[in-house]
Amino acid sequence: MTRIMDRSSGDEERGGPGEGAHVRDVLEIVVGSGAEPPLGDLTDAAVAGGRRVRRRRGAALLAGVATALLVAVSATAALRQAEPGPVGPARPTQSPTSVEPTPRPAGPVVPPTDEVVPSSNPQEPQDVTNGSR
Amino acid sequence: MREAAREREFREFAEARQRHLRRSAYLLCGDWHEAQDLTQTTLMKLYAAWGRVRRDGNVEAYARTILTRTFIDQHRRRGWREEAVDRVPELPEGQGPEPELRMVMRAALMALPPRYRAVLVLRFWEDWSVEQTAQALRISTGTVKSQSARGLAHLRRLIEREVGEVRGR
Repeated sequence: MTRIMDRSSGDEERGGPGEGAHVRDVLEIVVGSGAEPPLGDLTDAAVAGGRRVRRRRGAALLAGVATALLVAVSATAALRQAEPGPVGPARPTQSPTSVEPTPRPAGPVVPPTDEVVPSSNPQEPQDVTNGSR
Repeated sequence: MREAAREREFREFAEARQRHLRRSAYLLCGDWHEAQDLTQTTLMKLYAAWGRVRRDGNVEAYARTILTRTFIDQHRRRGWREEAVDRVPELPEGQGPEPELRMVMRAALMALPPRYRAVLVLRFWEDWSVEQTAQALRISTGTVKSQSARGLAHLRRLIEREVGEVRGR
């Protein structure tokens, strides 16, 4: 019995020759015949379980893709909605360099006066400063 | 059709290897019922990844790796602390000399921390190299060597003590 773990030197700790054989003897004795119960039907159960695992993985993958798509679509819609918003900063439609100067009227600018000018309707006088009544 | 071929291949492998897998599982956990569950879980995970495993090759090594990792994960989840015990459990009464020897060896093996046990089983039962064992257990080769040496020393001490006690009875 002691032969199993006997050693003449410290070879076994250092991975010397014969270490594997001695430990294997011990392990052979532990699983030795007689105590081993009959093997049940492992394969059918393993196949059924494996299928279930694959189905769950597939469903999880599908759910992940669907969630990602939903998030992407929602984000796009939100961005589109936010773009023409009233609180957004006004953007110049043209660059300053491309602004063409508007032609000024060639005639003399008439300063506003308080005097009443005759309107087209001679019955009704018009106030120039007010523009309209 | 493809699914049927896949299943047939897996069944061939499982039928051929499940006995050896369960014996390895027993060496890890020390209980035949637990070994049966461990083997079934291993085969289930193997079938779930069968296509990829077949493509990568070395199905055998992959199955052993799943078995050992599943065993270690289960122990970790249960909150098992890796502390070696100084004494092995009492032997059951009324056993003959051969079963008694087996019980001594089994008790000594089970007294080792699960990780040490896993290293010893992979190195000396499966005949894996230090590198293969390190890869399967996701530890360094240095750790494999040190755990192997400590495991062996502890196993020897426990067996010598128990054998001495059995002889003294």
